[in-house]
Amino acid sequence: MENILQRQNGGARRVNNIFKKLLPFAGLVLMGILYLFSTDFKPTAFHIQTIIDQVTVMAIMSTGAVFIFSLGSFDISLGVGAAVAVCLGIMAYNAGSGLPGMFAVCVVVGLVAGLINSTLSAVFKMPVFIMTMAMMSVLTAMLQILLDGATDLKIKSDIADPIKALDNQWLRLAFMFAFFVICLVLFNFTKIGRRNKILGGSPKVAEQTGISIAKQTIITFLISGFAVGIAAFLLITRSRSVSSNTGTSLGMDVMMAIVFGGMPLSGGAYSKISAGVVGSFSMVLLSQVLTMQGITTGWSQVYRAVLFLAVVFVASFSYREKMLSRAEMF
Amino acid sequence: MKSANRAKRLLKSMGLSLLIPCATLVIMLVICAAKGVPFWADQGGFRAFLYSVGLSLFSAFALGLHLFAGRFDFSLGSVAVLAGVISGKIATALGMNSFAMLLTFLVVGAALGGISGFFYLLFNLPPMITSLGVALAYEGLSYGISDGKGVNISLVPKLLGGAGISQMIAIMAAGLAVMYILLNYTRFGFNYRAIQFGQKISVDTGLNERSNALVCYIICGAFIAVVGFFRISFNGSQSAQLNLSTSASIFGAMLPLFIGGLMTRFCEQNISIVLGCITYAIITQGLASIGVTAQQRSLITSFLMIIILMYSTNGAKIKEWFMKHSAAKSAAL
Repeated sequence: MENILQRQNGGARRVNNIFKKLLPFAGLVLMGILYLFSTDFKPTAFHIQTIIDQVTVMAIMSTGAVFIFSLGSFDISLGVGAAVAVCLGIMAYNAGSGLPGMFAVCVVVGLVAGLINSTLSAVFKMPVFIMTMAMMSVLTAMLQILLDGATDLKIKSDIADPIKALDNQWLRLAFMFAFFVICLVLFNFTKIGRRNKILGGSPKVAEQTGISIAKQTIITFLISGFAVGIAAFLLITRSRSVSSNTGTSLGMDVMMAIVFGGMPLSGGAYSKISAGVVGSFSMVLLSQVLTMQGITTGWSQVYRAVLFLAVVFVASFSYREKMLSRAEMF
Repeated sequence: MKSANRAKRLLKSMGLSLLIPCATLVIMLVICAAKGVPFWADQGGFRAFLYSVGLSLFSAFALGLHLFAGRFDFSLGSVAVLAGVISGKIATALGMNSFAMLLTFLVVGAALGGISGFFYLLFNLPPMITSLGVALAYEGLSYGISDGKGVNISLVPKLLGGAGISQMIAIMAAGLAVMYILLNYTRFGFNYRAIQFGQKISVDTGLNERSNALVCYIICGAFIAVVGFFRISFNGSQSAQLNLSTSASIFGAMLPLFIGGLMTRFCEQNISIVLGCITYAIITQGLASIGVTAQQRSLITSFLMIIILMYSTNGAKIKEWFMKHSAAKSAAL
């Protein structure tokens, strides 16, 4: 009798796991169908270009952020970090660094931001969420100071040609694909991903199995910082400018994309590297559908919020506990 | 003897509590004097100072009530904005005066906070996630119902009375009194503290955590609505915001909360928050007086926040290191 019950429970758990794995993809397919309906099943090259333009940056940042999420942490300074990297990248290019120099500046800024965040978190034991909030304030202020009161900063028009040549959606797609493959390998087939999942599942277990929490946190934030750097470079090739609003909502969008992509909210063993890409595509398709339906900006955000809450509600079925969810903030 | 000791302890606590704000004020006054500029240029400067204290005080009360209970609510800023748009529209449509508008703000804010809490209870997920969705919805609503224009009451003088010096002081005093009584003399406050320091034990002993959390959300909604009230009364308008930009105003309440956190060992939590907000306002006012730009001020206060956070999490270790160091020194002597 006990064996039968155990088998039934095991079966239900398997079905539940398959459901959880498939749900984000089902959501993506649904968004795809809605999108096709909106374009009368005839998406133009412009439609596809718009989607690729919007998805690539978000997907790269989200994929990098999955590593942080898998630890059960959030970093909301990512968007502003990218904006600062864009700003310094443009400044370097305008000063004559050339394309490689600009790329290097973007990546180094992303890595330095990641290193600072991880050092504050791992060495000084500051709570990650609160610390990244403080970092967001620092980076926002830095961006405004770098802009020096101007509304935006642009690539000088007389030297913009090499960057214009890189304004190509296939190049962006290639960057996204390459970065995703690297992260897929790192997350699923190396010690880095395995240790992140253990650490996210239980820091105590991780410590007792000899995993260095500080080292792992630093590696995680550096990967995420590298993603920020690449995203910043692609942002420059796309818009060739930066304003104080660049990156304002990017950090939050990344967080939402990861949740849309089916990332377990607590991190740990069930974390999925695909969450960033799947969620980014779903979010961008949704935005496009709403735009094409003629829904105005404000109401479009309400629809997005309702859908987000609906997704979160479904996700909550596998997460429910007797007590309310809380976190140690200090 | 006992009462003398008590009075001595009380005086010591008061002195230590006031040390940080007073020291900050003295430093800022000295810097201003050295630069040859007044701390407050005129009465308008003092009013702006009070306005700044009021904004951070009510934001910090609302944010703190959630943070100390282990929750972070992204939707607080959007509650202030949506409450501003709804209440501003109601107040102008019904020809209300400033006091009636304040009451409307409180009711609308409490209702919006309650809805946010309802989602938290329904989903039982990390509040950062649920509040993200709620914030997006509230921002979208404030933009949608006002066609992106927000609300403007600048042409209705009787609605602008809430930002007078005496009115702001009265509202802040009332806010402090309500918070003090709620947390120290009510069943809600007792349960709140029990959950704060021992969630599992409290729940296992039959305490209704869910109702306590919901009340928390309602109170925070009402408190953050006062921020909206101050804003609309002071500026005469409330703009609609999108893309989670409303959360930035809440991040601004973090530093006063952390400064207050340094004083909690010397005085009651709510009083420490008030002192933290005053200290923060002194710093920003002083920096503004000597000509530091808003961006530079923001950078300075952000670094200050990181330093305080670093001290808060490593204070014990630093003390231990100093004690070891001094012990080793005296042993060597």
